[in-house]
Amino acid sequence: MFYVLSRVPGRSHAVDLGRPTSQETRSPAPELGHETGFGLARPRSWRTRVGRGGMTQRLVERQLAAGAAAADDEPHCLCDLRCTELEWGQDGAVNEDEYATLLRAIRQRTRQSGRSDLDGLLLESRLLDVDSAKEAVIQYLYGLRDDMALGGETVTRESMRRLRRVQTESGGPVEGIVVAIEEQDRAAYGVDEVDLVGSPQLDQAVREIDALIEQLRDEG
Amino acid sequence: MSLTLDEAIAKVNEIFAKYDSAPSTGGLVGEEWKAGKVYEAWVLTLLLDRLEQVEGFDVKLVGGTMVYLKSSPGPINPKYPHFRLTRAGSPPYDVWTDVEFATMSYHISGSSGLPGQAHRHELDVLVVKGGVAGYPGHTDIVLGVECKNTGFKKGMARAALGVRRELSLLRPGKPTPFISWPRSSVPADPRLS
Repeated sequence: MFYVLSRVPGRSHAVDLGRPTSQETRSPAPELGHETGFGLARPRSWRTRVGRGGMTQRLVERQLAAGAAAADDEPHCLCDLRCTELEWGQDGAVNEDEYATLLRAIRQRTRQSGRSDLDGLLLESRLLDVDSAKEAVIQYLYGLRDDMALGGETVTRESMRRLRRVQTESGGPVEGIVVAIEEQDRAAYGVDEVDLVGSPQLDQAVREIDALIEQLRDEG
Repeated sequence: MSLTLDEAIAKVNEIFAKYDSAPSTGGLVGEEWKAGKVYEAWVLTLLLDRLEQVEGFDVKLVGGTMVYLKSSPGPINPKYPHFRLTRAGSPPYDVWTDVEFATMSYHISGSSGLPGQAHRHELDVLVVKGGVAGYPGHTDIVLGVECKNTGFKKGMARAALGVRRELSLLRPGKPTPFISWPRSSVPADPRLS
């Protein structure tokens, strides 16, 4: 039996590891299992549809291409993006141009934090099937959320929770999860082992992304 | 109250300020690499949880008190702790991470000695017959999982097909050692009976 698990949800090639056990259903849901990857199917309602008739794929592609070009420009300062004071939802319609501007801003900020790799990955994996700039923003934010969540305490805590019934030979509990850096890799990595302990700052960032996504969904 | 573009961008900046302030892994270990290992740990523990909860295996960590993932794949190294699965009426199985197996092609070639690079493929998480060490053969593997902390790309499907071909041949459904999870039968041979 051979399985490949990837993190894009709701696609036919994501392999479902099975339904949650009743116990897991009772437990606090792991943040990453909610509308994200890990082989758990995405609810149909997850996809956000544009509220005013949608954009053509070509328009989205143009906007994303413009975003890519803008993100490649140096310096990556957001100041020039702050001239827009329009309130979203004017005349009851969300301005797709503003969502495109926001997408570019988020992409630039991602790159400023040294994560050009993540930006490229999210463009490839999250934005291919979007049909509006709003959906592109939300999908990109979900991607950021998943990435940050993997560095947070919540995910490692959940992994350790699953090991709570596993005993060691001495009868004691499992004490932790680390990555042993093999001898041949030590010169390259500069460390002997990596503790997979998470960061509470990233958990907070994940919560703020969730709040922002919710606000954006409520916009028109 | 509607959100202005300025406010949205400010929120994004606040989020990234927290991201930037989070402690880094240290050394030259990249955050993406670490995230991949966290994902691997997530999948490993999910697998163990299901095997215990659904299949009724007793799961024990042997050889230590810490779970070790590895930075590079290689043979099964008994110096590392690993998980032992036992269940009444069933042979024992071991769960390892980051292990290269000897391919079916290697077996068919009739070669002897350690398999060369072309005759080995990595699996991130694998369940093998109890006591297997070194490079497990394709008949030793009960379950293999490849963890990809990334969006799915077409190349992954091609790679998965290649790895699967080096593990078994397509055959009508054969029973697995599992009662129901993840599957009670697979269209593959060899399989563990």
